[in-house]
Amino acid sequence: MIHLRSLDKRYREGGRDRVVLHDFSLDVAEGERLALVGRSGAGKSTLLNMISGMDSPDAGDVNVGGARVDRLSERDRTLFRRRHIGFVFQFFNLIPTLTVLENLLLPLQLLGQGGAEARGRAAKLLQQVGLADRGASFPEQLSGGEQQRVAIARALIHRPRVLLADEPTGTLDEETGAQVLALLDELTAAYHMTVVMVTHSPEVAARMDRVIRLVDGRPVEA
Amino acid sequence: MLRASLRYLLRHPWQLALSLLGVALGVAVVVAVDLANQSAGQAFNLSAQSLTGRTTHQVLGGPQGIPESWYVELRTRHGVRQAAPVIEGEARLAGQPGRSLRLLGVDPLAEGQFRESFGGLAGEQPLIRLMSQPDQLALLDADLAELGLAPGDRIRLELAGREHDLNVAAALRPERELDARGLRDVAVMDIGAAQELLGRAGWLDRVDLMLESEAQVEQLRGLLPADAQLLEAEARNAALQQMTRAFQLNLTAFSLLALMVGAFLIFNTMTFSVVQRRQLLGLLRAVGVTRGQIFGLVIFEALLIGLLGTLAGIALGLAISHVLLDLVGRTINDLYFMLSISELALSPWSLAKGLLLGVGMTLVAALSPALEATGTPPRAALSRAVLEQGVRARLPWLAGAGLILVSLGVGLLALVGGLVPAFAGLFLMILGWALVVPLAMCWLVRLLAPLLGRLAGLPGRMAARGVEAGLSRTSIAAAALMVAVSAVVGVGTMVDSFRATFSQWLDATLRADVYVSVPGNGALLPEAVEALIETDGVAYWSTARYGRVGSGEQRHRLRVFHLPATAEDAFRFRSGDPEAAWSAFRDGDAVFVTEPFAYHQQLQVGDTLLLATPEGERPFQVAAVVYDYSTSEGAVMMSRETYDRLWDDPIVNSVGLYGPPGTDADALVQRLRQRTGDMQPLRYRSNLELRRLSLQVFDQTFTITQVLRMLAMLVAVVGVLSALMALALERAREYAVMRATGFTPGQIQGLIVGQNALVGGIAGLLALPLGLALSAALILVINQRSFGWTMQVQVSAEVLLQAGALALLAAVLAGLYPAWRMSRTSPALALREDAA
Repeated sequence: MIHLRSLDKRYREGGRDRVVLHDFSLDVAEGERLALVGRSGAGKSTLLNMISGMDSPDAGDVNVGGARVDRLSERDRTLFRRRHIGFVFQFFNLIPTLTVLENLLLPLQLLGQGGAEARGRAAKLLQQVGLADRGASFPEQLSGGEQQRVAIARALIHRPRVLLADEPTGTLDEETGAQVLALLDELTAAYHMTVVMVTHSPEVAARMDRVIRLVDGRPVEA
Repeated sequence: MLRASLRYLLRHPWQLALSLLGVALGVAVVVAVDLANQSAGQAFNLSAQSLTGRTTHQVLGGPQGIPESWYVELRTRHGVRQAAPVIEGEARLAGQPGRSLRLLGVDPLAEGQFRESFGGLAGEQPLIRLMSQPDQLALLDADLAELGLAPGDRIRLELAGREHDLNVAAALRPERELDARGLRDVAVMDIGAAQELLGRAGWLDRVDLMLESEAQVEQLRGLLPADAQLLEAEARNAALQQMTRAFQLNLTAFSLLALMVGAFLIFNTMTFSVVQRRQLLGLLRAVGVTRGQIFGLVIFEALLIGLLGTLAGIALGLAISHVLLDLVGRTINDLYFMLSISELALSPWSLAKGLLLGVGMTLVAALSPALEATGTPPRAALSRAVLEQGVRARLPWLAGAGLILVSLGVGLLALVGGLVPAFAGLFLMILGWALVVPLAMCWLVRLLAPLLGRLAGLPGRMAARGVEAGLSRTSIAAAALMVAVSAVVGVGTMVDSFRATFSQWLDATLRADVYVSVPGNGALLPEAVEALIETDGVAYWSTARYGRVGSGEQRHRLRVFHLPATAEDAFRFRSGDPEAAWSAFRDGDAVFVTEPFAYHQQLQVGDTLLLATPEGERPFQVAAVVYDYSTSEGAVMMSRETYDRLWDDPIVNSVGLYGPPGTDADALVQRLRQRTGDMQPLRYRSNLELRRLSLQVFDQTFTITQVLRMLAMLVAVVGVLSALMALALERAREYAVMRATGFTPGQIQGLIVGQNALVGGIAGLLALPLGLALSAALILVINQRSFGWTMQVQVSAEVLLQAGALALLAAVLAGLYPAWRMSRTSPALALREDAA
């Protein structure tokens, strides 16, 4: 599903080049659930951004579901992301000016699906994440765990082929984090999604099919 | 701590630059207007002091002036030696349109004691030349240098319609700096030659005197011609200068408006910098920084911005003041008296005032954010949403306070007399309504959100909600824009109303087909008048005589009319019964007064006005108050019949000629020219042409108002740009999430621009009621109190639409850069930066 070949990526920081990824290659099979671990700054988030087309490699190929993401234009990458990628962030990142239901409907509306069917799907998903009665609330009125559940629902509502999660439990307490992970497991399994999750937690990583550690810009099977 | 503060400012260069620009523009306008006003005042004072010299008193006559014979008798028979005759006129420089000189005819032998600078001529060779030949004049050497002339050269001047080739006899090189500046654009001639050139042989404009004791004053009073006045020179200068006070006060008020818009900007910047650093401020509090120190930090930043912005503003103000100076000078020349403002008065007080206002306003604007900063709890990391909730909770209080201010403002305008309370009321109204804006905006976006959602789908709803969610930013931007746009509406409506009123008045007043006068307002020769009225196609005619007449210690404009009965409806009565008034005007000793005159002199129909006549001071009954927009000083109107009964003065300054209906004015002018031939250079103006010229002068007078209006708008655009950019930068993460979710750059751009358009639209909408209220205050109170004119309020749809479009355009323009920047920023970078 995801094929990364010989990726190079460096950033300029304080007047010096910092190599984040070097000759990085990795394959993720369809439906596989992969954990990315490594020190802060090892390039985990950068890798997610490249898979989603939000960032481009300096060299190398990014192939997701047969699409050469690194060769697409800015607009086509956006459209690709809109269609095929779901994103869950550490800081939830819900749109504060939209209600829970509207946050959920956003990816569908961007795809031109705003009708009754979309609403039905959103209502069902809200029920699945245990927030059926909070559709009209604004994000600021929810707890952290609730916000993250909405974020997961938003990432999945358009049934993307790939779910990217960047430390989805990083800011949650242990119990809430466990609930959120269970939810993520259940839903991605139900839709047979490919999952790439960045995490610092060995327990979280252990729940995934495979764990890759990023060391000096290269993948090491853990 | 200060280092952290400075680094913060330097790391947000755009924000810093915009707030500096806001302060600078506001201060620049204030400084420029103040400098222009000061320069006009200084030019007037210098010229008055130079030309008054040691004169203590002046004798001024009736419409014709003072008979020269009286002066001769004063010196020879009564032995009053400390007397100097003066005649004045305006001379245009031939071939240099717009450049004119003040021609001063003096007796060089009598001058020595009065005006040192002219006295310096005495005993020199040029003096003999000046007195012995009729075509000699002396000019300041600085003026000569500017004109590229030297003593001995010829100069062509146009006087009373005729061109004269004159000789520069001498260059005036005054010893005193005062004279060197005060005598700019003054041409000195021997009085006899000047009388000849001005066509006023045998007459003087005034006699300057040096009277040392009360006894001398009394003695002279006894010798005065019946229609002459003895006035103190200083009091007369002060009265002249007083005439321009209202005009200058109006300009100052406009400049303060620009500063007020600037203050919104500073408030916005400081609030933003505090909100953005709440976490940092909380951290500082956690490590032991006191509330007082936090307060000091924010105030220090404000002081820095205020000081730098003000210094830049003063420099910019100096540059703008040159343009304004020209406009102020032109207006004073058009409306009041001839004044040559050749230099900028760099008054340290003006600059200090700019500094004080700029820095002071910045500090006041920073007070509230500084207090907010001290309220930051240690280690607090309040979310934006919680902060905005706090803001929303305060809105009703703010709006309530605003409505109280508006009521106070209206009360001041309506109930307290004088111009300063009126302007204070105006500013209270503006400030009060600006405080109502946040709540009104909150309601409006809630009202509009469903509509926008239906029109533009989710992005439409998001734009509306975004405005509400960022109310602490968007409402300040909207308030600043609203203030500027309301000024545009208010001033625009005032100018429109004034122009419409003036134009209607011209239509009613200009009834003759052709008006004939002598350039420079000289006298028409009797044979020329006769020829004009006997020309073929002239059915009837009117004549006018313009002059000044004494009244107690004052001098009033006098207009004497001979009018055919059919032209009577040219006068529109503000009060007075037309039939009785016309009868008293023609047959009794009654006069009409213009509206500003009645206002300044506090006269009503039926009151009595004392005027100095050749038969001594006589009472005249005010039969009517008539509308008149030609001079804000006001004038007394008298019938020719009454005038001829009292004055022995056959002079006519202008003749109006009426043909039968359907007269071709141009053809009539042709015939009139043929008939008068070479008798005298005359100026012929058709009704239409005179109307066009009058409106041209009107528009020129209001150029300065339009310039100031645009400057206020410019300050507002900068304010909106700064506020809306701050908002966009604050939301960088939100936009990044949208991009991650699949929003294209174009959609983000559309969202930001749409949101700004909403802010602009709402600001424009809220500006309309305030703008109309401002125009009502300007027209019905401020103009009335400044000039005494009644105007009809004329609200044009064009001004309103323009204002709405302007608000929308300003907000959309202000959104372009943030939109471009946000859509270009990599979402990955924005998410990464923000998470850090």
